[in-house]
Amino acid sequence: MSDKKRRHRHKKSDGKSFIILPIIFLFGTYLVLYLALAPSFSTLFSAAGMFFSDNEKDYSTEYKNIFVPVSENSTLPTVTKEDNKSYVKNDAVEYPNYGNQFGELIIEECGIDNKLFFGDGEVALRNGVGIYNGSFIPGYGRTILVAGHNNTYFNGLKYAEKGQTVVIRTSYGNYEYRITGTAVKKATDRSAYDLNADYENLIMYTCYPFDELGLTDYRFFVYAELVSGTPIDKSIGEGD
Amino acid sequence: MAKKPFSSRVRNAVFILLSFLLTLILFLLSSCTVLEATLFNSEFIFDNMNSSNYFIDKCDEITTSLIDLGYASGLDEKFFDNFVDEVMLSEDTREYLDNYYSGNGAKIDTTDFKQSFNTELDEYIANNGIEDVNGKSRDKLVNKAAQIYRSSLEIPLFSKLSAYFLTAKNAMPFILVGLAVLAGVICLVFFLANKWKHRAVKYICYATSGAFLSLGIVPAYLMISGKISHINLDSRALYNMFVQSANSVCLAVLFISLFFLLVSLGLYFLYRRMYKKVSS
Repeated sequence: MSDKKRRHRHKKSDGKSFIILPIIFLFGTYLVLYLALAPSFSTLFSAAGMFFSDNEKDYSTEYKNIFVPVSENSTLPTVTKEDNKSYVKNDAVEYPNYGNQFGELIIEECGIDNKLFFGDGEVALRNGVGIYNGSFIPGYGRTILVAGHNNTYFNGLKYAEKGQTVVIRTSYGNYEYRITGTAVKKATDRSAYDLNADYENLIMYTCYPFDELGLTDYRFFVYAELVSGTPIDKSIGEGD
Repeated sequence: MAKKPFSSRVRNAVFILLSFLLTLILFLLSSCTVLEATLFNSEFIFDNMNSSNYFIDKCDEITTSLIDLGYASGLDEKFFDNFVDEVMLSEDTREYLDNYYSGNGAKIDTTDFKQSFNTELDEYIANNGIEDVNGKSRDKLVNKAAQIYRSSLEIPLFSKLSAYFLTAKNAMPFILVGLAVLAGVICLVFFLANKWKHRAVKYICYATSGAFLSLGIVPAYLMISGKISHINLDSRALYNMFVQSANSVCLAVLFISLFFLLVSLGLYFLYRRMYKKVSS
């Protein structure tokens, strides 16, 4: 082979290695890093998964309002079950997400007419009263635990008395409750409410004493029982 | 074509392996340099706080949280007007960062905050004619307000990672020197072990090209995919600061990566010139 040909071939293979070798080095570098970090790799990845989401976080302090009042003459889709009772069809209920306004809570005698949120976070309590998200929504047949600030939206609870009517209006129906009693209990007293009750009951609470400056250790509880309102059909997909 | 002798092929393989080692060292050296100049540098964090409007946003966030506290404790919204200002936040954050970076822990002193809160509270009580104030409830309120202020200033995970952070920060200068010496030694080996100097240039060129690719790929992916802006942080101020800092870090790494690209191109042309000279 001539010297010229050999030099040309050498030049060609050398040129290739200027591209191929750096690419191999790239993979090699990350392979070495992977092997070095292998013991903590899954931890690192799950931590990254916790910190990063699919979308950018929404920092707006606006809340979503899904509450559309049920008009007097409208009929909600219901289903009649074996017990001859009517239930609101499950798919007719728009279940609220945390922080959504989904209704109104009214106690006329106490001058309370507030927006009702799902969740008792800062945004909810800044704009109304909120259902603790470990409890249930009206119509579900379980305990509804509603919180509000004693100096703002639940200040009127100080006028709460046995026998008064509480109305909760939602997009899937209106619910009426009757106050059965009030109590002042320590904030840490878990016996003040039963989140596992298998009957519908409404508990509203706020800080006590009312109008006091400072953070208190006591809570004022108002208990109410269901008087009327169509329960939600909880059997999802049954019979389909 | 005549095959290269076995010894020559082994020699070439060893030098390619050394090139890879040099790539790895350059990658680590660059990464550590960027870390030293960014995350391990309190000025970098503070500058990014300033340029991302951190103190203005933080001020709003703390005021909103304190107003919420006011709703729960009988204080009017107006009580918190101008209660927290950016100068106060900036000074306390500077102290917090200085303490942390000097190894004194992630401490935030809320004594001044509590003092001014108590003074304002006395004035508020007097102006509104409030007579019966429960001392315990008042203390709880002041402590809760101070806790809100402290937790708002804290940077997430800073206190949890402080032990690792300080160990890495203190070791960093030695690591940098060690890696630089190693890189120098490998380059020296290339020149001393190769009779034809263009070959030494070729192996170094492989390494710098590898470093260019290894360094550039991650920040390029992060910046193109916009992954950085998908971080979940509760505080908007912290989010803006994080995104700005992370973008700065990515840009710094990209610049170093581009530097290696330029070096690689330079070395490639040098190699070609030297090779021509030798073969002519």
